[in-house]
Amino acid sequence: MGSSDSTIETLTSATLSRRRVLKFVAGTGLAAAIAPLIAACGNSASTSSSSGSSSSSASASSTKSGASSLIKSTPVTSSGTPLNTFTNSGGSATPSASATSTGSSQASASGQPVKGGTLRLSLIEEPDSLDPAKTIEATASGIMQYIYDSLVFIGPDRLPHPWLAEKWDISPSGDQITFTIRSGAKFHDGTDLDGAAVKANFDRILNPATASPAKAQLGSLTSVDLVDPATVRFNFTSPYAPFFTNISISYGGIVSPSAVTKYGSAYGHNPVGSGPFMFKSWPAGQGLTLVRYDGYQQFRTDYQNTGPAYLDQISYKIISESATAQAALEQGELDLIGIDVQQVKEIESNSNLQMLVWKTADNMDFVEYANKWPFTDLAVRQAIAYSIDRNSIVSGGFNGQATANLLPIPVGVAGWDESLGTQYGYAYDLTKAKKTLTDAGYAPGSDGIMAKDGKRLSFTMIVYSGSDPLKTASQIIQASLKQVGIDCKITIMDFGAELPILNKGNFDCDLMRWTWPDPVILSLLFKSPGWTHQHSDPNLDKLLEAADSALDPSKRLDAIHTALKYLLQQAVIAPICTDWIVDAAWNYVKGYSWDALGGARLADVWLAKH
Amino acid sequence: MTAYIIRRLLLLIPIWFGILVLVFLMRVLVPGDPIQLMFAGQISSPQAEAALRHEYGLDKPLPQQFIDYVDGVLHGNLGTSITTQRPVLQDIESRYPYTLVLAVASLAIAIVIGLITGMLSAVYKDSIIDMISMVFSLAGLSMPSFWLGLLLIYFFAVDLNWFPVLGAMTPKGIVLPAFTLGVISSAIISRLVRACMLDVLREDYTRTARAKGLGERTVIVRHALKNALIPIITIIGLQFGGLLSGAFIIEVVFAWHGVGELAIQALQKRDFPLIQGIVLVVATTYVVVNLVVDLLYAVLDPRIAYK
Repeated sequence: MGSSDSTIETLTSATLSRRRVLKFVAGTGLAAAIAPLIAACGNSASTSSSSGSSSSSASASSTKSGASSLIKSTPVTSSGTPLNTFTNSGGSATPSASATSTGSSQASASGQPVKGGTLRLSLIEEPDSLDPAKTIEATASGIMQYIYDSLVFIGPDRLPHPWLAEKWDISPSGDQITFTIRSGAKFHDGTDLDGAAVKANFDRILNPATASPAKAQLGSLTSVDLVDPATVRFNFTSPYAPFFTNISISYGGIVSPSAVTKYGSAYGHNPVGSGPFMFKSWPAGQGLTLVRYDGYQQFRTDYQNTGPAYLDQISYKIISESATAQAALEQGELDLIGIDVQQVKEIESNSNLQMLVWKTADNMDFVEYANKWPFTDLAVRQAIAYSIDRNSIVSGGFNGQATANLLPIPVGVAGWDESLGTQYGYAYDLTKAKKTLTDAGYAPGSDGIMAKDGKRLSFTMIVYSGSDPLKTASQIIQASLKQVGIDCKITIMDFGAELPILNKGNFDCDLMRWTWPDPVILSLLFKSPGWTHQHSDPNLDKLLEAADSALDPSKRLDAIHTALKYLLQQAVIAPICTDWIVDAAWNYVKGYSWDALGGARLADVWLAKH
Repeated sequence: MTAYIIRRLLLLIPIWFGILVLVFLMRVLVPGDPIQLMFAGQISSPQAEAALRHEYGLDKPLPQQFIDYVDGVLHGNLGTSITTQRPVLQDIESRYPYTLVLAVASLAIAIVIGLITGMLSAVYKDSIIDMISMVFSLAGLSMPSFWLGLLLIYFFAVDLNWFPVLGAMTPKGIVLPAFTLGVISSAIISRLVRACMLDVLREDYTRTARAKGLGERTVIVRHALKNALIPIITIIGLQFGGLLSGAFIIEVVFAWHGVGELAIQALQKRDFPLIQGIVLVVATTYVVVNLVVDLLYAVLDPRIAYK
């Protein structure tokens, strides 16, 4: 205090020289001006629990609206019975075997649905576009699922079911799928949703001139033919099994071709679909409003409400800071938000709020490796997998809001099978971890760190800065590895900075989180070259290729199981857990549930107030 | 005077050029690529990525991109944002008023609090008032704006319900964010006002004014403060720059939809056109504000004249 006093007094001494003031302040002022920018570079957006398809929540492209964006297939046990998909204190259809959600209870299925009201939700960022051909952002897809209907939906059995398509035929070779489009469906602008409209949609995505990021979702699709006004044939170069999931989620939403013609490049900010809600307004930077489409018919069989939605409107406000969204919820300015695991306790203690938890989510937290020593040594990979104290990570890092997972596939994705994990997985066992290393010729050095041929097991694990649970997890893993004799250092960095490092392979290992609703996640991660360009195993590639091209569901399941077994035996990654999607809502929000892939059924929701 | 103003405004051109070069250099120095980030965690294909890169001109060599960008700027086109798919100028135009309103409101609060507490400290030097205000200044200088903002939200909005949490561009909604920024900024102004006033109060002309029999209030406000204002105004002008950038974080905390909130999102996604546009606009504002401050000197001190 004293020194700054004299500094200022020196500055203001008789000369009262502005130049001297400027020189002094330039240093501090510049620093003060730059500091927030640097801070912004260093801090990715807060992690999202209601995440979309982004591999890391730190890339901030996940929606925090209660309308959980990505849709995934419900897992079944090996005997085929669906696992509980969600727990909801508001009581919607699916029975849940495990504990019901915490927080205040509300009478389940209380009363008759009431029409009216606006459901006020939040987004962590502004979507880039509401044109499914022009965006693959999770935030956008979370909104688009209410504006657009798709050809099929994935049901609790994880199979595609008719939606806008009444039925379909798959050619024997699997490289042609012919859909019959339901008659009578109309877009919000009154034009007909027929075969021509469907063809126009996919032509647009396939067209190189569109530069559509969604094109990759269509796999080996090359062209679409209009067989007759209600029949469309999709032609592939080879069978592409993920196709049904991909077109069922909002990327496959059917847009009105007339609207595209009318709005041109501005279509992305003026979307027209055939879904339960119509686009109303989007004042740039502030938020979005959707209104009920009164002419809506619900063709999906997994909804309670067969007609137009009960809600008059859905409004989205952009709130990047999760603490602020929580404050707004508590204050009554929002009705439902997605919350971080750290916020669970506060929500639980608030009797006005209910917690909605989706446990069989399609998230996967894991440790992955670079293609270099020591990770080229199977023994090391296995030892690391044995050293993951999943229960501590779930309770300590995720506040209990996760399911420990032994399999390299999310709990909520088709193909997840507990018995595979029991048989081939690496349950937490430090003794086994040490033994695996010593059996492979490693011995502890004088510093206690395992070494072989003079090379110490010492490396750095990267964690991205947007996720507190993962940061805690990294510390727990570090401590466990230390006990085994492995020295693991931790580096935290902004995901945007981490990604190029991963892509170049300039890393040892990292802690990552991925989200995807379809078993093709295995190929996205591990099929040569792998998402970090570290994978090149022809055996694995063959297994994954088989899983990706098996259009028959049971054959595909078998292929996935085979691939999972291989991935486990090779300890390609060290799986940790599947973190849950957690939303918090006021008690008057009724009828809220997630479909099989995690899309919130807002057309079923009503507000028990006014 | 007019010639002086024009000369100062012409200085903007090399400043703009300098900023453009620096921001372009950021692409080289800061790791991260917008298209890579867009496809992270998604099904991607080399063709899809290449097509998008081409659409945003990111496949051209960097010097060529620079030339194209400068050419665009000269024609009033700041490019298209990768994250909003809208023209950058449109994005900035729609959001900049929010940031300016917040910065101005914060500055007003900072000046009012800073002047009052600084003057009181100077006049009642070493008294309890002085000590309280110095502690208050220190607290304000040390407090992270983010934390203070959240604290104020929880106390005044959630607990007391005096203000809304989400009140972008409403009179009630501006109070908390402007106060957060203003309080922190006022700490610096307060310290400076105190020091300047103490200095001026020691001057001969103050003694003369008192000897002439003028009331203490007249002495302090009309004579002492007016002379102390010159370095104070310099600091205030520089503070405005700090407020503009501090607003970035506050905008995120309060969901105040200005360019700051947009910039944070753009930075995370490496949306270069948008970042460039925002930096240009904010820097220009800063230069203009400092010009206004310089011109104010001529008003405050008749000895100063610009040719």
